Amino acid sequence: MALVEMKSCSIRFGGLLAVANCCVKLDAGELVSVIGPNGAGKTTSFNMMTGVYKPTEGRVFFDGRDITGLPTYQIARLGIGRTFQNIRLFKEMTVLDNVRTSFCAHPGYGVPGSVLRTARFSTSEATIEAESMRLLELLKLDRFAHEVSKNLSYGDQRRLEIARALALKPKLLLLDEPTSGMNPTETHEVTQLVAFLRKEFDLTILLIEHDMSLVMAISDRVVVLDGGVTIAEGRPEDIQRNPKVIEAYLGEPVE
Amino acid sequence: MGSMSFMRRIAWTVGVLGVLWGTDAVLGKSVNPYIYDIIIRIGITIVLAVSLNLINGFTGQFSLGHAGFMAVGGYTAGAITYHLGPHWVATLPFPAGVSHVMVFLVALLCGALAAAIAGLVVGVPSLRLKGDYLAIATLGFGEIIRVMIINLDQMLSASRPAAERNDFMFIGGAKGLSGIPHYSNFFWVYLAGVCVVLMVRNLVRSSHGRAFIAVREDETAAGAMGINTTRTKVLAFVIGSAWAGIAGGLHGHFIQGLYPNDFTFLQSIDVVVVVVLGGTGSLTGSVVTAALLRIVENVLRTLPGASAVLYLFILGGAWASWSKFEGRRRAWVIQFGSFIIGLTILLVLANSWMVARIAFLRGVLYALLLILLMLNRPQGLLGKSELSFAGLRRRLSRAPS
Repeated sequence: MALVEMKSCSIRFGGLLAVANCCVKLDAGELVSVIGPNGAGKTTSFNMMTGVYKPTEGRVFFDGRDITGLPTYQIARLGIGRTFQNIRLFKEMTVLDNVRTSFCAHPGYGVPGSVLRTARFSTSEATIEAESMRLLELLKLDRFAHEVSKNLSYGDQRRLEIARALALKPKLLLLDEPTSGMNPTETHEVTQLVAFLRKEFDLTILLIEHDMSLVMAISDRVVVLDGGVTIAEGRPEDIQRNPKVIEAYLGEPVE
Repeated sequence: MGSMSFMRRIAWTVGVLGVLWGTDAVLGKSVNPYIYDIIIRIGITIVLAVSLNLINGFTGQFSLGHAGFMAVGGYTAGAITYHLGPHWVATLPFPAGVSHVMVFLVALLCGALAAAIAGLVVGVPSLRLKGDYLAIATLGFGEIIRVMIINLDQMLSASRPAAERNDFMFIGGAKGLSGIPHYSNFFWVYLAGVCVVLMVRNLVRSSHGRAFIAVREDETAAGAMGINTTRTKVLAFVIGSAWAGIAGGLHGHFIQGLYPNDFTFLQSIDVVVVVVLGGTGSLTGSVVTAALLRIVENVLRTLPGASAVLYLFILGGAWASWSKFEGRRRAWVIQFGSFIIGLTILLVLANSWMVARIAFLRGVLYALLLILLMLNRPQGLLGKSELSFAGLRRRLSRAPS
């Protein structure tokens, strides 16, 4: 059964039809990439899936539930973690606190507990800290744990965003251009990291990406969007040869 | 971060209560009433500033309605001790002293509850707004409260016969509610201060507090991490308002009266100034600045005091700019020398014209202080840092011996 499914979702901003009739379906454990030129509606599709936008038409299903129109935080709690195209860390917080924030939804104690520092507060916080540190170690960020996150290097900030999303214990991870602004070496590292995390956490991953070396290396399937419309879908090697895709990226062939 | 053992907690509580009690006894006997008055006002400002810091500083929701919540709490508590207090004291089966304390505490708690409810009612619709719009909405709320207080008695007495209408008195309208018992003293005011600082500190260093800060840092990302941003903002608003209500109750039971003009928009601004000057997101900053501003404000009431502050300003500026005038020492001497000579001439003239009181300078200096701070240190005196014993020890051990 599909873990997540967008059924003919469309969204209109005033007169602009940003995404038309988008159908994306991911089975549990799959890694699917969404590619397409700028303005194709990739991030908008992400935002419909995570509740930032409510689709004008169509429905979104996750884990057998209709999640169309649910608020963002509820969708996150159901198990969809995400990163952002333009890094959105909690800049003034430490690296460790950024990760710990993902536990705020279920801290294991109430507001009075935190004020009175009950025994439950201590044990819950100790668990939260241990789990957060484990994630930071996994992503090689543990030595920066007490550094303010805005002081991290660009690549480290991107990894921290992934760590923060993983702390939600998601079933589905949405990565929005995880390699934008990175050099080939760093891109290669991210490729390996995504493959590793997928195995380690048994994740289903939906990836928006421009870097074809990454997309072709790790995707099970590729979805190509252009102008808000899905123009192709299939295995990476088929997509590479698809004339429609080549046209979208390179323009029409000259006669 | 760990929780203290039960016995250590009891010891700390008893210790803090003892110190407050002892200081209260000493201050009551040794200090003149004017100084005592300033000390109490500092305490009340601490409660207001720390609670507003939770809303403005930690959660990042710019509220200009703190005086409104203070009024709701103050009037609720005041009306209870004024109308019901004497009756309760007469009927409660305790010694009079104990009954008075109980009436006071019940009144304060009711005030906090009323202010919290007001915070909820205002917060739910207005926290959808951001930045300037939220500031304007909360400012409007504060004014609504004040106008309601002025007119409440007339509204309530409208159905009564004309003869009774003039004598009707519930919260006193524009005249104010005077004759409230004198319950607030150093002990209660600073106990509230200790409680609010501990509460906000503990809250901020927990998952719930991290949610507040996450909302301030990036609301979209906070939502994507499973934080219910609306609930978080409303919670901060309600807790902050409840403490503003307690501050209102302490204020009313100290000056023994409540007057609508004490709760204007300027009072809200006053608290915002303390929070911003001290550093949004620094509790120590709020506490230190609350004390500093109340002291400066009172020093400025007299000409010698005001001149001293102005001279300090100029000398501070001279000291701070010493390195910028590298190689131009003569220019430095001329500039600050002429400042000092000019100020002296001005003050001598002012002295002959106005004799003593130039309290109006307070407003000018406040504004000047804020502008200078925003230019040179936008993060406030202490930024987001806190003073703590652990931090002090770390710094001392790092320093070369």
